[in-house]
Parts: sequence; structure tokens; C-alpha cells
Amino acid sequence: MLRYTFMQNALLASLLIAILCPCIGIFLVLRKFSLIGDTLAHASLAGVALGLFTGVNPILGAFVFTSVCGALIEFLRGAFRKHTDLILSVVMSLGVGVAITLISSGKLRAGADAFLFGSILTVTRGDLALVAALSLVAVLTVGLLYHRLLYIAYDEDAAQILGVRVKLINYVFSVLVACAISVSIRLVGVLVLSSMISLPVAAAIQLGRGFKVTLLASIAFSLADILLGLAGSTYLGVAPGGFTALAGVAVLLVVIVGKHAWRKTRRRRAG
Amino acid sequence: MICVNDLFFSYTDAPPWLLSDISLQVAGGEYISVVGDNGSGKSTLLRLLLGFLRPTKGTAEVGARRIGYVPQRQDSLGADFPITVYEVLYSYCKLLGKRGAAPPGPYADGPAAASAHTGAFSPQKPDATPAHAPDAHGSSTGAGGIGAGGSGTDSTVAGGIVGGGPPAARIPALIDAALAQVDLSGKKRALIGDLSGGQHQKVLLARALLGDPDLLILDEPSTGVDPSGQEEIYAFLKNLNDTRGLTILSVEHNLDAAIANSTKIFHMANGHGHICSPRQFAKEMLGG
Ligand SMILES: Nc1ncnc2c1ncn2[C@@H]1O[C@H](COP(=O)(O)OP(=O)(O)OP(=O)(O)O)[C@@H](O)[C@H]1O
Ligand SMILES: [Mg+2]
Repeated sequence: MLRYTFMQNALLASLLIAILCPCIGIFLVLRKFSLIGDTLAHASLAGVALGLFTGVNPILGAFVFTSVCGALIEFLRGAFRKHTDLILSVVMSLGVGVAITLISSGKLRAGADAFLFGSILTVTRGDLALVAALSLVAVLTVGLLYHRLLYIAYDEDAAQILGVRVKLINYVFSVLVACAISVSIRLVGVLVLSSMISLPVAAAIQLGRGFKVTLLASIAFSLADILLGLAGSTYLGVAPGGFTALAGVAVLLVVIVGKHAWRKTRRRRAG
Repeated sequence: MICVNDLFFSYTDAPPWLLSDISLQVAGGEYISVVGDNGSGKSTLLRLLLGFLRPTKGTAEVGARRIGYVPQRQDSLGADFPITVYEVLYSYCKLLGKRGAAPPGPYADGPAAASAHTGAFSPQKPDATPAHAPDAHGSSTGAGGIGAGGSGTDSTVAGGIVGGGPPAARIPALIDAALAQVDLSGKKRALIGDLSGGQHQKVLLARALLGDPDLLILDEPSTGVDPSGQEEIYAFLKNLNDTRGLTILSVEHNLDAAIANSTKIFHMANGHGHICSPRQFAKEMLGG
């Protein structure tokens, strides 16, 4: 099966996505910003539509548009501290509004369906190069900002006293979220994108370990999710997005059930 | 070190003022306790000093090279955050070295602040040996044990890198020493969320002392700490203040501790505040 180039492309892209998404997702989840991920994922569809409309690479279109939306959310969050949920609705409406308007106009140069549900057939060499470049830059940036991102998430006051430029880094982080989303969009699709960002992290948190272990575990779970999703979707001939999301839920459930079972046996042994 | 002038503040930036015409000067080396009823604006005053809030009118300036801050206890902070005690302290050490930008708030950079830069992680007194290892300190008890270790200043940076943090290789030893000071060596690998409230408070105190601060700002440091732990903490703070001249500003509900330990007391009520000596304050309390 790996003889097919499209399959190789899809597999490589999967690995990149599986590493990048939890690296970004862990900070989103721990800051209780999972909904921002979801909002931006939906907004990215507008970027895709704009790309398909103007002839720009849709992944690039998604990256640029999502970055702008991320920065907008960051800005509005500062201005309207107590209405974050409303801000998300506004940005989501803006994104989905633009997307539906463009897609329904019938003037796109290619179909947008593949971006809704994800598709392994559409990952071209060019896409792969773009995905690899964005992933590399994003993962390196997370590595560079690791302690700062961690402290902003864990104890923002302390970060500020230490002279961390919290606002600036929040903007940089918005761009990183946009990276993760636009990288994943080809394969996983807009609709279940947030599952790639939050489900592996949610499963890793269940382990009840420190930050680094949780991060590494979420990468492992994410790899499991996407490889299961890819294999399942190829086998069944369905879109990989849906199946990856199902794999994510399944892995999370297995971890939760496993944790309880393990505790039970320990209790029995102790008692 | 701290200079508050005719400060007015309310969260809406309009009257009624939560803080009204507050003035407070704190010189280096003082240990000030801030006391007042719940809701009298003590934490708000600290947050103004730390630059998290802006005064509506007036000024709040802090001329410290490095501030150590222990926030008011919130059970929510980090309770469900997957992070170990070691990671909390390790990343903090890492960030000590990254202080490139100006810190928040209007920091007055007096001559003391300028010359003090080289003091960060300066070569330590000769008795600072690996005796700070947890096993050497784990058994030490009481105020002596908690106070003897200094505050993790046993780090050496050649040539006094301005605002620089400890070199990576020294961080684990620094963390061991910091935890030994608060008798929590055994909790290094524990999750923050698994600590008791008092233990958490002690970790935050140990953290605040990393990086050799010249000003400690504490918001009810002993809340949730058991009586012997409280004694240790106050003896520890007093010792830092006496021997190293560390300036301390601490919000207190423990009035006995405030009277016993501080050099001055800032008493807040109805949006106003006045400074008095511990003795005067004790009299006021008895009289009232
Ligand atoms: N972020 C905020 N927005 C609006 N009002 C606030 C905010 N934080 C505090 N307040 C109000 O300001 C007042 C003073 O709060 P503050 O936390 O400074 O009191 P405190 O003296 O520290 O009290 P305590 O002894 O209970 O810690 C309270 O009435 C509180 O409701
Ligand atoms: Mg308070």
C-alpha cells in the first residue's frame, strides 16, 4: 500500500500532524482555551475557501486567515475580558460566514469537501512540503518558548513578574495554533480538527503525571489516533477525519477505563 | 524600595475608591506587614505594586532588581494542572535568566537597582557548600533548619551577567536547596495538585526566594500552614530580613506574627491606610 505516493504523503503528513497538534493543544487545553482551537478550526475553512477562490494554496490561505483570526481573538480578549465566549462566537460566525458565502457562490476552483471531512488522496508533494515547513517552525518555536508558554499557562502572574512578555507570546502562540490547524486541515478536515488538538491531551492528562510526561504521552496518543484513523479510513474507504476523531475518543475511553481498572486492582491488593 | 504617592484606585476607575489617597514609603531592609479587614484592598494594593493593575490616580513605584511574590492562596491555582514541584521550580529558574524586557509596571530604577544587578547569583559566602543537599537538611528542624540555608543564592555566575539566571547545570542543586529550606525535599516529584494547601504555600515561598530577590511581596504567606509551619515561616522571613537585609512586604491576618516580626505595620481600613510601629498597632488593637 505504501507503494502509492499519495499514501506515503498522507503517512508523512500524519506523523507531522500527530507531533505538532498536541504540542500546541496541551497549552490550549491547560489554559481552558480548547474552544479557541475549535473556533479557529472553523474559521480556517474561510481561509481554505479564500485560497480556492483566489488560486492560492488553500493550506497557506488557511494559515494566513487563521493567524489573523487568532490575533483578532487575542486582541478582543484583552479588550473585553469578561466576554471571551462571545468573542469566539463572533469570530466563528465571521469565518464560517465567509466560507459558506464563497463555497456556495460556485466560483471556487476546486471542491472544498475534502477540507471539511479530510482526505488522504489530496495530500500532494507541494502540500507535504508546506506542512513539513510549518510543522518544523512551529515545533521549534514551542521548544524555544517552552518554559515561557508553560508558565503563562500555569501561573501567568509569576510569568509577568519574571519579565515574560505575556502579550507578545500570546500573539505568537495564536500563530502557532494557526500552524497546527492549517497543517492538519488536509488530512483531518475542519469539522473534527479540534479532536486532534484536545483529545490526545485529554487522554494524557488522565495519567496524572507531570508536564513533560503529559506532553510526551499526548504525542504518543496522538500518533495512535491518527495512525488508527488513517488505517481505518483506508480499509473502510471513508474520510480519515471522522475515523481519526473516533480513534481519539476510543483511546481516551480506553485510558480512562484502564486507569480505573488499575486503581481497582491496586486497591484490592492493598485491602 | 517602594514609593506609593497619593494613590487612588477602584476597579471601575471611578469613585467610590477602593483605595483612596494611599501613601506608603518603604526603605530597603524593612519588613512591613499590611493588615486590614477582608476586602479592605490589601491584595489590590499588592497587585498595583506588582504592575498588574494601574493606579487610577497617583503613583505606585517599586525600585527592586528582582521581586519574589507569593500570591494569596487560591485553591484553584494549579490544582488540576499536570505539573510537578520540580517542574514549577525548574521553569522558574529558566525564566530567571530570560528577563530581557522591562518588567511590568513603572519601576523606578534608582542607583540601588542599578548596582544591585551584579549581585544576582554572585559568588557566595565560603560556607555555601553542597551541604545544601536534601539529605543534609531533610532532618533539620525548626527555624534553624529553615533559615540556615540562605535562599538558594549558592549559585555562581562569572562576571555578574546582568539579570542573568543560574546556569543550567546548577539548577537541580538550587532546587534541592530551595526545597530543603522549606522541608519539602521529599515532595520534589509530587504533582502540585497533590500537595496539601500548606505544602503548596511553602513551595511558592521557596520559589519566590529563587533568583535572590531583593524584595519579597507576600499575600498571607501563612494561610493554611500549620502552627509549627507558621512559626518556621515567620522565623525564616525574619532571619532573611535581619541577616540579608531582604525587604519584605507581607499582607497578614496573623496579627501576632505581624506585631512580633515586622519593623512597621501598614494598617488599612475604609480605603485609607496609615503606617505605625508594631507597638502602636498593638495598643490600637487593645484600645479598639
Ligand atoms: N478583579 C476584580 N474586579 C473587581 N473587583 C475586585 C476585583 N478584585 C477584588 N475586587 C474587590 O475589591 C475589594 C478588595 O479586594 P482585595 O482582594 O484587595 O481585598 P483584601 O484586602 O485582599 O481581602 P482579603 O483579606 O479577603 O484577602 C473587594 O471588595 C473585592 O470584591
Ligand atoms: Mg487579599
